[in-house]
Amino acid sequence: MALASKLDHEGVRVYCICGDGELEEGQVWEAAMTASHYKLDNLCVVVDNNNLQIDGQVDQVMNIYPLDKKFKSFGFEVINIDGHNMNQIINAFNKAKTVKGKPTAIIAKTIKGKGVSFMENVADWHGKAPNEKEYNLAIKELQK
Amino acid sequence: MNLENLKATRQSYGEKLAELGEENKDIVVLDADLSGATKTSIFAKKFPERFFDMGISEQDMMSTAAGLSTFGKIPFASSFAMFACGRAYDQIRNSIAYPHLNVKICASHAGITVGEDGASHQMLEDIGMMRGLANMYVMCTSDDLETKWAVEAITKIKEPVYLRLCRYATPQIYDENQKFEIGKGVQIGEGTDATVFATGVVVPEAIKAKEELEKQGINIRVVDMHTIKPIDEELIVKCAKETKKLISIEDHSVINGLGTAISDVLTEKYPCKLIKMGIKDRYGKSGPAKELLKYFKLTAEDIIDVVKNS
Repeated sequence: MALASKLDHEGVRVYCICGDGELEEGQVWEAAMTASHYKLDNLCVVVDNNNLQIDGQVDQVMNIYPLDKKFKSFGFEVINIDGHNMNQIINAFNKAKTVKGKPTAIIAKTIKGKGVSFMENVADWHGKAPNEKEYNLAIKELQK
Repeated sequence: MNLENLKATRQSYGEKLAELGEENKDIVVLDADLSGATKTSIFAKKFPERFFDMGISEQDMMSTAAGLSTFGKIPFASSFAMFACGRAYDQIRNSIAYPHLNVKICASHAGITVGEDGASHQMLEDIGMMRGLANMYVMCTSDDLETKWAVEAITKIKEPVYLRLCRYATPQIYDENQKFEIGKGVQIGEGTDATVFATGVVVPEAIKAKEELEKQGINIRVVDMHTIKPIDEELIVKCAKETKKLISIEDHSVINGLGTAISDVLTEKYPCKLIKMGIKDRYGKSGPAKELLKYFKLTAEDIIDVVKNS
């Protein structure tokens, strides 16, 4: 999409959200090579870096770090932020818009299930829906 | 059939693509470091701004083609059949076929007729893999003109298409008067002793067999199945009713290929015996393509033997 947009000079910006676990897939790095090779400065990748995947902690299942160095060496502008800080998120997006000649990767450090005491940093909640009791409890905590 | 005028379908593909690129500015072409072999290099030379070499990254090539199509482009993605289907099956399935995107996967070097590169490069399962995908059209052409008609026809339909191309040069079978339609097999001859359904590089072998058998008083017909999906059910049933013996032949595994597609139709519509010629549940071999056709029993002589003795 970013490539098509470049082709027709449509000025479309493409945002792509990646999990950190999925960075273990080879295709992600094929795409990263393409993005920098074709100078896709209209592409902004956001990595949701909560360090959890289905089988457990990302660095223990398959170590993907150092992420910022990896993206830099693949030709990306890299911005590290706290993914729960709205000011940092907005500043990062604004900065990404000014980057010329290369794509941007925003590595957003996050906590999975943040704000819900029994969900925070628990890999088990990766692909599970809360039951009614858990749901009510979670909403109560989030509204605090 | 003009035996003097040999040309590989990959060459016809490359030539036609470059010609179509002239009038249709939406056509974009992607390749994975094999543009010289798949002949997309002809387009690349003419329209460098609409050609993308993705490097040896077939998965990303398919996903990028999918993305380009969402912006109204008509992407043609080429590589060897082995890598296009084998390495990027997941991307073809989930990023092209499932979202029903207008991407043309034109893969060359299919089958044992790749020749010397050997089994690792001889794709024998691609028709099966692509045929199993809902929404996907599957085609395999046999000569220069038919390939050009196919390339033009698939450009006009807004569907995902897999076009199987070959390295092995085939003679000129058709002339300009031949009618071509996606999904309609071409019946050559009216013989009632047998029907030989063929696709791709072995179509000329079937025609040679037909001509030789005629001299011996045996009259068969050949059906060129350039479209394997959607398959020409009507023609299959018609031939089953009109001829004494049914044979299929393909430079592909006998599992999940043309023969299977035909037997799927026969099982439901007109149960009868079909003899499947092809690669029999094994891998290919390195050698000159012509010798491999003999080794794997895919020549006119082998067809004659099956017509007479099976």
